[in-house]
Parts: sequence; structure tokens; C-alpha cells
Amino acid sequence: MSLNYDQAIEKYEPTLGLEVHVELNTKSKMFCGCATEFGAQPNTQTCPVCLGLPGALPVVNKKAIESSILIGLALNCSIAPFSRFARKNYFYPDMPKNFQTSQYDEPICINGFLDVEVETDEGMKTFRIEIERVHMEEDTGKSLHVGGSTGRIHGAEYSLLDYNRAGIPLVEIVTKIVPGTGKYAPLVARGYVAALRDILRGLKVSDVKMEQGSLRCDVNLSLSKTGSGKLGTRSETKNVNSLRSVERAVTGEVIRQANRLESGERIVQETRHFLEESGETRPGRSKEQAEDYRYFPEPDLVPVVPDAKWIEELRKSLPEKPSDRRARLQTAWGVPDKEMAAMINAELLDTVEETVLLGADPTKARSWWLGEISRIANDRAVLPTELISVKDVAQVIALIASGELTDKLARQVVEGVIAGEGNPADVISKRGLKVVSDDSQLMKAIEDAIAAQPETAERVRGGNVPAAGALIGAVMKATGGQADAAKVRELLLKHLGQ
Amino acid sequence: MAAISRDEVANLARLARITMTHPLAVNNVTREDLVLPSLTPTEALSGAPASDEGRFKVPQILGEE
Amino acid sequence: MSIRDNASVMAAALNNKEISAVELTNQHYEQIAAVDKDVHAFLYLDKEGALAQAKEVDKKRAAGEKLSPLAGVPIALKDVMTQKGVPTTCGSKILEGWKPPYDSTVVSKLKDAGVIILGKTNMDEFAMGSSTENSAYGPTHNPWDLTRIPGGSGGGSSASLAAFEAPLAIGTDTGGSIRQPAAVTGTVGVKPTYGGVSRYGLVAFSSSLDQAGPCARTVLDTALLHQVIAGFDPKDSTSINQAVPDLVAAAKKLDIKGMKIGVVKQLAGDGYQKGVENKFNEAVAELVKLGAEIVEVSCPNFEYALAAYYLIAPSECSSNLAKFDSMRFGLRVGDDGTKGAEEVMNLTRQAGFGREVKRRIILGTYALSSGYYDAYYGSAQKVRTLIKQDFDAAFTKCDVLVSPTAPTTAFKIGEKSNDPLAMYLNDIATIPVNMAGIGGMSLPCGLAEEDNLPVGFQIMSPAMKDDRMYLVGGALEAALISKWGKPILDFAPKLAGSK
Repeated sequence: MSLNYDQAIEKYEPTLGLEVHVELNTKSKMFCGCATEFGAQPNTQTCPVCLGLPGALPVVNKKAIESSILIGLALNCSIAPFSRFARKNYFYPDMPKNFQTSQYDEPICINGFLDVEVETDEGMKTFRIEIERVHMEEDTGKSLHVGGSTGRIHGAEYSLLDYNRAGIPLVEIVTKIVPGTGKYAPLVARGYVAALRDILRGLKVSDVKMEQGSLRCDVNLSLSKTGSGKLGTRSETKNVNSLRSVERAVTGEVIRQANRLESGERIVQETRHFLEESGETRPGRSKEQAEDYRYFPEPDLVPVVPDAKWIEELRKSLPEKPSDRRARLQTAWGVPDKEMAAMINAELLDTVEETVLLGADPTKARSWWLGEISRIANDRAVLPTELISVKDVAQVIALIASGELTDKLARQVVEGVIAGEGNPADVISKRGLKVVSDDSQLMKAIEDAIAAQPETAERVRGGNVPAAGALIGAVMKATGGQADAAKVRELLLKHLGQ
Repeated sequence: MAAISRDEVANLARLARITMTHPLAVNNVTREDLVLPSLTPTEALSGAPASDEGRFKVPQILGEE
Repeated sequence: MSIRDNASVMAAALNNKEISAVELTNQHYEQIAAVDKDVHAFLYLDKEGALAQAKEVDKKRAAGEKLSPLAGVPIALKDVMTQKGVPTTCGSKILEGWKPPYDSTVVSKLKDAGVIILGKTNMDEFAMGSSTENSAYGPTHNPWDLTRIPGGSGGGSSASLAAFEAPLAIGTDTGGSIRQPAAVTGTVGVKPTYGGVSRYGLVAFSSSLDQAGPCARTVLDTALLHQVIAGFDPKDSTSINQAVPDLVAAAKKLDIKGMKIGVVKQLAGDGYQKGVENKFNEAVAELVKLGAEIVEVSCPNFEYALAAYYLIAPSECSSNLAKFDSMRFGLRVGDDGTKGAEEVMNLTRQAGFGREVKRRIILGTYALSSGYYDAYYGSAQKVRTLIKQDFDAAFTKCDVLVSPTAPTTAFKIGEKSNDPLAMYLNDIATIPVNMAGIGGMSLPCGLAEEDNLPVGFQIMSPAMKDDRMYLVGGALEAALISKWGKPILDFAPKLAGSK
């Protein structure tokens, strides 16, 4: 019989290792002046350098170096006083020079860490992920495989290559091995990538769009028998391209490896591919293991020797750490842990903060974004911020606070804005959604209701307060639901001597 | 066995690190992040043994699924 | 004015409108038509492009525009430099028919200066060789004796000068490929300081050693050309961002009184032809007469230079030549729809590369392999540092160093083609200069008594002090020509059909 995750994790202890590739958002490529726009016509952003034509030479993009140093600083790394590029030699048609210009034994940043908060059975727990290195390299081109079974290389009759992506700057962030996560390994892995993504977004060095491949994760995982203290053989899972996939890939590999070990099989050190549909992994290119990359220092480039002044200037430009910012906001807003976590998981922290900055009450802002708006967004499979702007939400909240809208009316306003009827003011005027707050107008409606239901009014006068519901309902109906029900009740009871 | 002194270790470490990069020890040569004109697709593909749909056409890439 | 004149004389005649650039260009094409069937210096002639360029220069001159000193003077370009739209083969089958979509920086500078590019010259495949016999398009013949090699790898460029097919040429020098051909053809060639001339568009053999440089028939002409192509290039990260010294002024100065000239003890003796040593010593005696002081210097680590070179250059070449895989440019062999990319790449490289290139790729691949890297590539880099330290120490005692350029005069075609080690020894005196990244010049210093063939005299100067080679070279050349009564090329037998 096969083990499920809980059974697997009881018998085996996972050790993680994460390699994240980040495409920097520089305007030009790593080693040439070609543009980096996503989705351009094939081979329109290429030149002799990024096509690897004979005679062409690379020159490093300064912004790419600075972005790499910023990433290193944000991850608490040491910035190497002397760093070099190296050639990683191997043949693959999407790599124009048949070597990747990368860094080998002299990376730009080393020895950092990133703290990851994970919700455990005992509450929030911090896992410190140690960073081994941050290094610079270049992306490859894209191949399109034609013929055979569509889209897959095997059986393709030929391949078509587009080198627009070749030479786009990449930063690779490699963790040291991460032991001791136990059953939380999938959450720690996910939390790490999410935290890293937030840092990179805050640094504004990358678009960090996992779905477009500007942030890609490889998950290394090995199992050891619980308590044995011996590291097992690891697999490397590539193609893990969403936060959810990171979590699923770790879970899937734990189950797969545990079951192999249970049946007495050996774990092969190999590259595996993550399958988005099933959450499983399958073996990838096998030739990669035996490859000898014949690294040597890139003779066409000179060393990167950042001086203290340069590093300090960059350090000064670092934004507030995401973790510091969260702590600050949580205190300022007085939000409990659980709700803070919900906001972060929903990726609405920025949005809520922006709404608060426009004057909204933090609790209201949170409940609107995570409640009504998220619900509609979920139904339509879009992001909440694609439905309605921060400004419109802040305005709706302001109108509630001033008593011009009731919660019920406000929901209609939001609905109208989402339906494309314009901004809140437009919706209010088009739908006529103003709260009826004029007492004389309300009194008129109340008197009409009493006149229409004299017996009910008499019962209320006689002390049967719950009977007032029917009268209140009538008033609400008469005002088209635009009156504040509490106000109506107050006026009615007073009028009837209660 | 005679003990190795700290200085000897330092000297060995120095010798082990002798490498040469540029004869004039040039460092930090970079370019600003500016977009320069690329080749036209026709120019880019002009030397290709085969091309199709604006892309370089190459024999099937094996060894990967 | 004749095609046997020096480039500086041609430049003056052009400037005085005694001849037009178009006429001068045509005269050179006539000479090429007459002699190149025997010499085979050129792989490609860009007559149309050259004449269009010449017309443009004549037009500008007629309009009174200020022109560069060499405007209208023709040049031969080693086929390792890219020129937009003009076939660039590097002497290899694998690049047959490839027309680069861009100009190398050297070519851009030549075009800007109005120097007329006649065509592309023959070379050992990918600049690997010392005889031009490794060209996939057949050897070039030495104009002094057509049965002999013109040196290499830039044999085509030097032979074109000696055959009066061009007054100027561009070469590249990784281990001696400018200086050794200059030595055996009785011409002048300079390997500038590494980084002194842009490598952008120079098809790389060994990136940390390659250097493009000027070739001509006189020291002054070489200086004029060097001045045109030198300078910082933002497209080459290893190019030096410093002002180029005034090389032309140095070449014209002719005064070396009080200069200290070091003779390298290790670059003499065993393996050096008697006549080469004699001519070298006679030239040193001329320097003394000119008032220079001679000091003997020792560079003990030069002994390891050749061995280290044959680890570094092949290592880098194994990586640089990996891009020749038939995917994006050049030859493709065996793509019949049934084979995979890797197999087609292998078949193409098997068919497209010659023996020497394959030999060096295999050597370099081995030297970079994990487990061997430290022992081979790593150790070779350390030797390189030691060689540089030897030079640094020597230059504290003298202004320039001198040696014979090559151990022998031109040998017979075929004589060493089956003995790579003997071939490699040709570069024993030139390699240390590349290893240290300093400047080196070869100029003729006489004819060896055994075979009446030219002998090369090498001058080495510290990095970015290239003016010193021109200073010493210019003075020595003047003294020797006055001693001989005429330029050395006037001693060469006349080629059939030559003017």
C-alpha cells in the first residue's frame, strides 16, 4: 500500500533547497542594448551580441549589477569585494554562444538569510532560510517545437528559435540546505518564495510574474529516515511556476520519494519536471547530470569590484523590509494575526494600505476588500483590483462614515461601479441611492404607514414593540429602501410613545 | 612533523590565488541601461542556414521530452 | 607615385591630388590581378565596395573636406575581422559564405578614416597556425620565395604587403600572428598593448590573448595605421579607456640616445638559426651606434610560456568555437530531417573544422574538464602572472626589450605541417608578449646569410607605452635602410607580372 503525505512525513524528514531565477526588469539586456519587452515579434530584439554571432563581445549592464547588489543587501548577504563572470559551457540550441555567461566560484553576493513566517499548529513560527549565494547570469532564447506530438520536444520534426529572451538579465538566488521543516516543508517552501517575491517587488528590480516566467523556482528535495540524521539523495524539480505549485511540488516529491524508499528503491539524483495538472513530477532531461560545464572565468568581461561607497549608496536606497512593514501596519491597524495573515495570503496588503492612506478606516478597508469584493472577484476569476479602484472603495467607505450611505446601499454602489456604471457618485445619482435622512420626509412616510395600519399602530402604542416591524417595513418600502432602518425605528417608536 | 607557521599558510594562500585577468587590472567596466537599436529580423536571420516564421529553423532538439 | 611607395607617400600624393583614390585603388587591383594567382594572399576582393568608398573620398577631397591622414589609401583586411555584407570565413569551411550583418570596430574606424578596404586576406583557420597552411582555402605563398610559407596566422596580410598588393594591412596577434609573418616577409607588424585596439568584430580565437594590430612596409606607415584603429571602444569591455600615445611622432623622432634597451637572455641560443642571430646582433650593434645603452635581462619564467600558452589558448578557443554549431549561421551538414540538432552539430563541426582547429578544441576541452582545471588551466594562468612579473622586473631596468621575432626564416611549405610541436616553436619569442598583454613590434633587420631570407627584429614595450616601440623601431629602420642603401623589399626577387 502506498503512503499518503501524513504517513510519509511521519517516517521521513525532508530537506529542502530552493533555487529561484529572477528576470530583472532592466530596459536593455544583460550584455547588449537590445530591448527586453515581453511578447515582441520573434527575433526583433536581437543583435550580434545576444545572437552570439562571431566577433561580438558582451558589456555588462550597470543597472543589472546594482539590482543584484540590492537583492543581496535585502537578503542580508555579504557583497563580494571581488566578483567575476564565468562561462558555463554546454550545447543547447536556445543558447546562442553554447555557453551561458554566469557566475561560478566568485558570485556577487554570498551568505544571507531570509526569515519566513509559517502558520503552524502552535501558531506563527519563523523559519530562517539561509542564502548561499546570489549570482548574475543571462536567460536563453525560446524554442518552439514543430511536428510530432505538438508542443513537446520528443518527436518534433524541427524547432524554431526566437532569441528575444536570450541575454535578458537573470539573478539566481540559491539557498543553503533547509533542514528541520518537518511537515511544514511545503508551507516553508511556499512562504520563502512568497517572501522573496515581496522583497523583489519592493525593490522594484523585477516584474516577479511567475506566470510569465520572470520568477522561476527549482525545488531540491531529499528525504532521510526520521532520526537518522543522514541526508538522502536529492531530486531537482524544475518548472514550478506558481506559489501553489511550489507547495504542491514539495508535497508531491515527499510522497513520491517516501514511497520509493518504502518499496526499497533508490532515489536517483535527477532533474524532474513539475506537472501543473496533476501536481506530480516526472523525470526530465537525463543528460544534464553527467554534464561537465567546464567553467572558467569569462575573458571577455572584467571583474566586478564594488567599492564601499557604491554599496552604501545602494544600501541607502533600500526600501523598508516587507516584514518590518507588516509589523508596522499590523500595530497601526490593530489587526489580529489571523486576519493579517489572511490579508497577506490574499495579496491584498498593498491594496488595503493604499485604501487606508486615502482616509478609510483600516477595519472597513479590510472587510470590503477581503469580503464583498474578493467574493465577486473569485466568482469571476479575476483579481479584486481589476474590478474596482482603490480610490472608489475609499470613497464608498467615506460615504458610509458620513452616513450618506448605509452598508446595504454601499453594496449596491460597489456593484454598480463593478458593472461599469461609473464612479460611486455616478452610480448613486443614476440609481438614486441617497440615504433618506430628512426627518420630515421620514415622518411623512411614518404617518402614512400608521394611517394605513391603524390597528398595528395601536398595538405598538399598547407596548407591543415587536409589532413595529410591520410599520418599519412599510416605511422602508415607501422610501425605496433608502432610509436608515435604525433611524426609522427610532422615530416611529418615539412617535407612538414608546 | 614540523608545524606550519601562519605566515607560510598565508603565503601558500596568496600563491594559490595568483590569477590574471586584464594586464592593466581593469575593473567594473559597465554600460548604462539604455536601449540601442537591434538588428532588423531580416539581418538577424540573414546568416541562418534555415529559417521560418521569423525564427531560426533548426533540426529537432532531442534529449528532452 | 607607384604601388611600391609607402602608405605615407601615397597619402601625400592623394592629398596633393597627384592621384585619385579611385586610381590608386584600381592600380592595386591590377597588381592583385597580376600576382595573386601565385601569392594567394586574398580570399575575397570587394572591388565594388572599395571603389564606392574611393569615390566617396575623392568627392570629399574635391569638396575641400578635412580628411584623415590615410584617406584614400588602400588596405587589406585579415579575414577574421567582420565587415558588414562582406564574406568573413576566418579561413574555415565552417563559415563559408557567411556575411556578417555588422562592422567590426576596426572596420568602422577604417571606413570613418576613408581607408579603402580592398578585400579579405588569407589566414590559418581561426588564426591557429604559423604558416597559413591551415587555411581551408589553400596556403598563401611567400613573395620572397613562392615555395615558402609567409608565416601565420596572418600570412595573407603580410604577403599582400610584400607583394605590393596593398600598402597597409590589418592583422591579429594571439601568439605572434602579426609579428612572425612580418618577420618572414620582410615587413613591419605591431601587436598593440592588449586592450589598445578594440576586439569587437574580431572573431575570437583566444579572447584574453587576441589583439588586432597594424601591418605595413615601414614603421611610420604602421604608426599611421595604428593611430587610426586604436582607442577605447565601449563595445569591448577589455578595451583600455586611456589616451593613445602619439605613435606617429614617436616613429618620426629617430632619436634614441640614452635609451636603455634590454636583450632577453632566454630568447636566443638553442633553436635559433645562425643567420637570425647574426642579423639580430648586427641590429643591436646599430642601436649602440645610435646611442642606446644595451643591458642583458633575464626572464626565467619565459621557459614555461609556450607550455602555458598551449593550455590557455586552446581552453579559450574550445569555448569560443562552441558557437559554430550550424544553428544560427554558417555551414550546416547532414540536416536530412531525420537527425537531431546535436547530431547535425557534430556532423557540421566534423566537416567544417580542419585538423589543427580540432586538435586545439580537444586539447582545450580536456584542460578545462573538472578534475584537470586546476592542474592545467589554473596553473597556466599562474605562469602567465609570473611571466608578467618577469616583464615588470625587466622594465625597471630598461625602456624596451628586444629579441629575434622568430627563431628561423621562412621555411618550406609542407616542411612542418605534420609536426605540430615544431610548428608551435615558431612562436617561442612572440608568445610571452601576448601572455603579459604588452606591446610588440617586428621589423626587418636584414637577410640571413644561409638563405637570403628576411629576419625579424622584435621590440617589446610596457603596456600602453606602445610609442616606445615606434621610437626605437623608427630609428633602427632608418639606420638599417641607410646601411643597406634601399628598403629590404627591394632585395626581394620580382614576382612574375608585378609592377
